[in-house]
Amino acid sequence: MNRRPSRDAAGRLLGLAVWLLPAARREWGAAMRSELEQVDGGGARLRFALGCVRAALVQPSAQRALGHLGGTAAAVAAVLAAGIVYPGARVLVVALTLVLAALAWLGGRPGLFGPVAGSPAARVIRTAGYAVAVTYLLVAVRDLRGPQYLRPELHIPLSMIMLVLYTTVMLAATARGSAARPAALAYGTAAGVVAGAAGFALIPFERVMPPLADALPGRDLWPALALVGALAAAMFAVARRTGDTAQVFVAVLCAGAVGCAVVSVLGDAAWLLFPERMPSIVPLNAGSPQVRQALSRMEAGDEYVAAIVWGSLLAGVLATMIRPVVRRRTAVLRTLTFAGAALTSLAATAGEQTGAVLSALAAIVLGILTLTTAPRREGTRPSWQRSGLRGDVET
Amino acid sequence: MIRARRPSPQTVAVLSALAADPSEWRYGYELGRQVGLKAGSLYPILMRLSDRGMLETAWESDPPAGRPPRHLYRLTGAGLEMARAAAEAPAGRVSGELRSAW
Repeated sequence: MNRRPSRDAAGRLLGLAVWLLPAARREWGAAMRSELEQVDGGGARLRFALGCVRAALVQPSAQRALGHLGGTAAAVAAVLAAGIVYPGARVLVVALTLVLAALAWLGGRPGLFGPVAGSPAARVIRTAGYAVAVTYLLVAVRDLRGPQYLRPELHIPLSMIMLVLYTTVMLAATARGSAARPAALAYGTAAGVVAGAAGFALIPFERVMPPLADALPGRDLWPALALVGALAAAMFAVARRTGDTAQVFVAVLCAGAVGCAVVSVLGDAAWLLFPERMPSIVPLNAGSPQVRQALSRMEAGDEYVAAIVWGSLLAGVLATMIRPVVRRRTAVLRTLTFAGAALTSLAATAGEQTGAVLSALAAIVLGILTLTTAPRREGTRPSWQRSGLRGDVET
Repeated sequence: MIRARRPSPQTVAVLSALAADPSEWRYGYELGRQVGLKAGSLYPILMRLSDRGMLETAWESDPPAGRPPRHLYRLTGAGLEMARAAAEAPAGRVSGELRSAW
């Protein structure tokens, strides 16, 4: 029999088929390759390879991949057709759509971000996270449609970066290989929602108005109690359920990150829901009513920038707690992340705003690096259940 | 979970071909040619049969020099039983046993 190089057209086509096959079917890909070696004739080889491509495409994983690709293309087309006039804003929203779609895709595959852990808490948090991301995209498109009174790319990226960071950490925390226990994630998230709402009531509303708590009986007593009580309750519940100090720390970080996100979201949501009742911060001669409103919204947002920075910092620190630290460089990165967070606190306490922002940025980058240098593939069970057993989905 | 569905005529053909000599290991390409199925239909059937414990697979232990080992297939006991049930079932109908197996 003539030996044919596997690099002919049929061989390349079969390479595509093998690539399309899911990891669990790789042995079948090898079987197809060895069979192709037995097939004589260019036409027969091509027909066989085409058949193998078809066999790979009917696998559920390939169908899911095609569906995801189609969904992403449809989402991008919808963004492009939505009437976002400003080119810079269009590019940003399309880029955000693609990044979120890529993260969602990775969230379904074995690795750092997926698949989702089996616990109800992980599934609920992941679903809620996706819902928040999609809502953000819809709101961004709605906001950026039609004429813009300010250059939108000037103030969009910060919240977009926060969204991508939160989505990344959320996916890693709720993935199967995550070291974060369901109780820590569930109690931490719930406490964050309560603490965030309470914290929002305690700070000046939209920068220039008195805190919402001023209108409550007892003023800031009840929101302060809710804030502290939610955190304390989460810590107590997690300590009781897990008996693990690290998990209590995870819950606190989770609560802090979620709480900060709630504060910044509520601040902007007020403008979306009640635009006519929001304060005008800028002088009357700043421009037309639309320009003044856009400027006021941007100025009022400054009140919540600190929440975005602190929330992102806590998410960055949380990222270091998601995977077991088994490599030396990961341990070093985690230590540097903690040091960066401590430095941020010191700088903020001393009133060094620029220093605080820069050290927070460094800590966030280090936190994500810590996460990405941790082991990628884990078993079907969460790492905290494996008791040193080797992962069984090493495919 | 096992789906309660009658095997397709193509699956029945593959089962019948494998059941003709249950002890013999078969190659994919030749099996496909025998039953008139292209790779696009044959391999998904083989994968499903293997997933459900109907098919035993192995790699050729002593391939000729310069040639990669081939994947070999033959029916398991459960697969053989299923092949017999499929052969006995009248066209268009299927026994409860076969339905639950597939």
